[in-house]
Amino acid sequence: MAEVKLKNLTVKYGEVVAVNNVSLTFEDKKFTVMLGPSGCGKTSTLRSIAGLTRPASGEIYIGERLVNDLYPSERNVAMVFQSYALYPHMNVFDNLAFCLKPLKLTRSEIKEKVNQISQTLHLEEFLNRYPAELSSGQQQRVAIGRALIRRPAVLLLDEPLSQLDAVLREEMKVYIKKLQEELAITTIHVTHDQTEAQAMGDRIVVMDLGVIQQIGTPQEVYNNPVNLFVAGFIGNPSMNLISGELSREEGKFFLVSKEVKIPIPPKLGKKLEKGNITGEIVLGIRPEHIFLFPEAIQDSVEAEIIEVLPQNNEFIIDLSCDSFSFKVRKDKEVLGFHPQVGQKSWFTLNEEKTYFFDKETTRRIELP
Amino acid sequence: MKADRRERGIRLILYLPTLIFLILMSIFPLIFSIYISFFNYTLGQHMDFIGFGNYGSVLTDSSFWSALRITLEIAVLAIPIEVFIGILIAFLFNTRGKGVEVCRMIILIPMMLPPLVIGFFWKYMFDATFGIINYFLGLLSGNPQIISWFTDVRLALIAIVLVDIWEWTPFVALLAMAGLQAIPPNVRETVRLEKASWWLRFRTLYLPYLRFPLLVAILIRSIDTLKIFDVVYILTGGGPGEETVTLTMFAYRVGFNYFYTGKAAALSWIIALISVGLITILIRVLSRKSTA
Amino acid sequence: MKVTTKRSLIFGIRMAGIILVTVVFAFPLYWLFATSLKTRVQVFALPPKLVFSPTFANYLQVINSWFMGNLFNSFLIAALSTIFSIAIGSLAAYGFSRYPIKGSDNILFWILSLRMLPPIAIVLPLYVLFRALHLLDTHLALILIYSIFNISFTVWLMKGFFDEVPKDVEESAMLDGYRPLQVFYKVVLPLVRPGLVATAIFCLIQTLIEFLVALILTNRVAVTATVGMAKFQVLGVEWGQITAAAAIFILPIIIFTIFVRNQLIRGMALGGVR
Repeated sequence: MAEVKLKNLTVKYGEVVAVNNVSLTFEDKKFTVMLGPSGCGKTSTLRSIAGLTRPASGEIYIGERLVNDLYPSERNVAMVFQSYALYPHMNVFDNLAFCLKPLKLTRSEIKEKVNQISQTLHLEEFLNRYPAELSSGQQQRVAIGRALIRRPAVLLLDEPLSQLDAVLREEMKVYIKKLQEELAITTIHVTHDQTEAQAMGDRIVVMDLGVIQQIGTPQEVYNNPVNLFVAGFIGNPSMNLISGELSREEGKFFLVSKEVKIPIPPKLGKKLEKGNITGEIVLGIRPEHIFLFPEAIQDSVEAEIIEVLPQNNEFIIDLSCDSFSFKVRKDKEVLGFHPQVGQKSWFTLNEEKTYFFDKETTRRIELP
Repeated sequence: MKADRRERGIRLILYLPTLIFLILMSIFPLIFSIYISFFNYTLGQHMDFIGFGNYGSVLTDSSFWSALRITLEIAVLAIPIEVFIGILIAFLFNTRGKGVEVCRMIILIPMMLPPLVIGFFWKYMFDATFGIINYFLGLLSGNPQIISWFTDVRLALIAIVLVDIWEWTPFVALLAMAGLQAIPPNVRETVRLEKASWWLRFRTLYLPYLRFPLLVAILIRSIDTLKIFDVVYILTGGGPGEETVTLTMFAYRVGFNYFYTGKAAALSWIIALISVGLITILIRVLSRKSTA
Repeated sequence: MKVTTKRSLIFGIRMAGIILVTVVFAFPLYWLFATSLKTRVQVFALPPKLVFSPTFANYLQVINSWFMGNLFNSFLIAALSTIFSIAIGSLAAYGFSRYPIKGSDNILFWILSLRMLPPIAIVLPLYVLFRALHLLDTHLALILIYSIFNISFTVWLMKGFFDEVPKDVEESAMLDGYRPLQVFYKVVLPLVRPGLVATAIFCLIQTLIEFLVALILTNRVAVTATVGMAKFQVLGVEWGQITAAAAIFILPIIIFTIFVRNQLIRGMALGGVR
């Protein structure tokens, strides 16, 4: 068991910089999820830790050990690949035992370990089968078993759930998380699926363009996004972002964009004034933090419902003001009326949950 | 860095044996043969530097031009027929079935056989008196035929071309079959539904998939024809006279019958350059396909 | 009704065509084997006998002749050259597939063009060199020259097979505690075994059927089957014996061909068999 530390890690493919000067510590025994769109550098980071990709510069420590110059085989890390990468020419037993052979164990020791792990993963009946004869769920369990059987210091998961159907994926999410907690093994999980990240991670590392955007617990990255990227990437449907100019009329604040003029709740307005914030900004509000009314109330904005998507217990509603459109997500019970396409409705913003971002730096503006 | 050293070590182990062997056995001899080609050198005797003299003597040798002409004639006669029959066979065999598989296997055998052996039994079949070919021709024409295939220049050439066609048409067919099999089933279905004429279907559906394999087949066959030796050696022995001496056979005679080593070196470089030209075109074609 | 009759008519024509083509291409082979089983009288019968009672006399004669020694030479040389070529060629092929170096593509094309170069262009300087080294008419000389073509062929064919091995599987093995060359040996090679076997068989066939190089470099000791067969020409018209020798020679080749039938395209598109 060990923590993994990256110091100024840079990975390049020819001229393309995949990971740009990343420093980061993956805490011991914790489940860390690296989240980001494809091409953000998360997989390159993972592969650098595994030793499968050679970084252009920077240092990688596993525990106290600098591992830059070590073969993957010498780093004591295990990895579950997206494709599972089982050995097609070996049966399940040999797939599981393959990594034990270099350890010079006796035959009975190997047998015992394989039996043990196959019990944990419910693979006992498949030991004589070949990967091609297994379902994808079984294949994945073999892949996990193969990674865990020699108790590596670090477990690396490269989008291991993406090939499973929805039901199995939910099952495996819980299962892997539980297994990780039981074994207390430092785990780094790479995914582009934020629900996976929210459900599994102790900590989430959000990456984009080869750079870490934010590190935090699932709640932190959701509640306190540090910049426009994280704000837009986390949350489903994603945060509504409206860029415009802050203006003041008769003591009230408005956000004026090309398409729409949105009154800003008075309390927020005062904070903006206190913070001396003016000019071009981006306002962010999550779909669930918009209040929607069937008739006009004070300081509300008129909009038209153009699409209603009923979910189990909530509606996802597309609103439009002129050409500007945005999403609202509401519990069916909380909403209090049945939204219809074409209906007029009025909205206001939850002042507690409204974010402002600097248009230039894209960083969130902290309000006093 | 240690990791760099290790990676270099792996590459050395992987590449070095092959590269050393190929450089020693090909680049070095080829350079050596350039050297020889500048000398008036008959094997076992001493060498006189004559500059480009050997090249001049090859290029002014009427036997060289005749060998070049005959090699070209074989290519020009045989390859188009091989392509034509090859396409027909590919279409014919483009169907499933156990029996078809067996037949396909049988017709693919000739190209794997030793050309020398092929030369032998075709020579027997071409025999003027006892040959089965004259016998069949006799049956077809109604009166016995005693055609002496190898005493007439034109007939000898036709015999060589016929054997080449028998030997290599299956190869063209094989590549064409692969081309046909690459056609996605849904594309084939759509075209089947439209009532297009056979020619239109061939041009719009099949030809795009056949163009590449056929181009490769033609290039490979051309390169191969430069090497043609065994069949001719047995079938005609270059005769009558020297009328069917091919390029490779000419070089063989100069180098290993008369032992004009210097001249043969010049000649082998000329042959190498011609083939490198063709090979380069082939490689261009192949790599363009693989990057596309 | 009309459509089905038209369809079965087309099917019938197609099958007739397939059979006709097969007969045309197989007949010379049939005639070869048939002749080898004939007596001298039958061989020169007029009109030629398509049906007859077979005799193995020709085979007995060939089996007891010097030709068997030539055949042995051929197989020995082919086997050794194949083993050598596969051993070092597949290493390089793996390199080209997984550990490319600067100019990999150019080197690959250089290797491919070696394979397609007319042997006559290379054999002359090597003849002069081998003569100086007293290597003429030795097995070694032939093994070395054939290995040029076989290595080049192996590199190309095996690179294709290595390319098909999923990279993940290799990386998995690296994480499972194996060094790169152990991964090659323990995971990659077993995975490409069918390809390896096919490549070896192609090398064997190509070496067995080669004539020109053997004709130039051998004289008495290392004479191969093709050169031995060519000597039958001196015998003139002993067609029964010649075809029996040919049959003994080509039978293993035909069996090999059947083995690699599914790889023929890959093998052949790399520059013909010669």
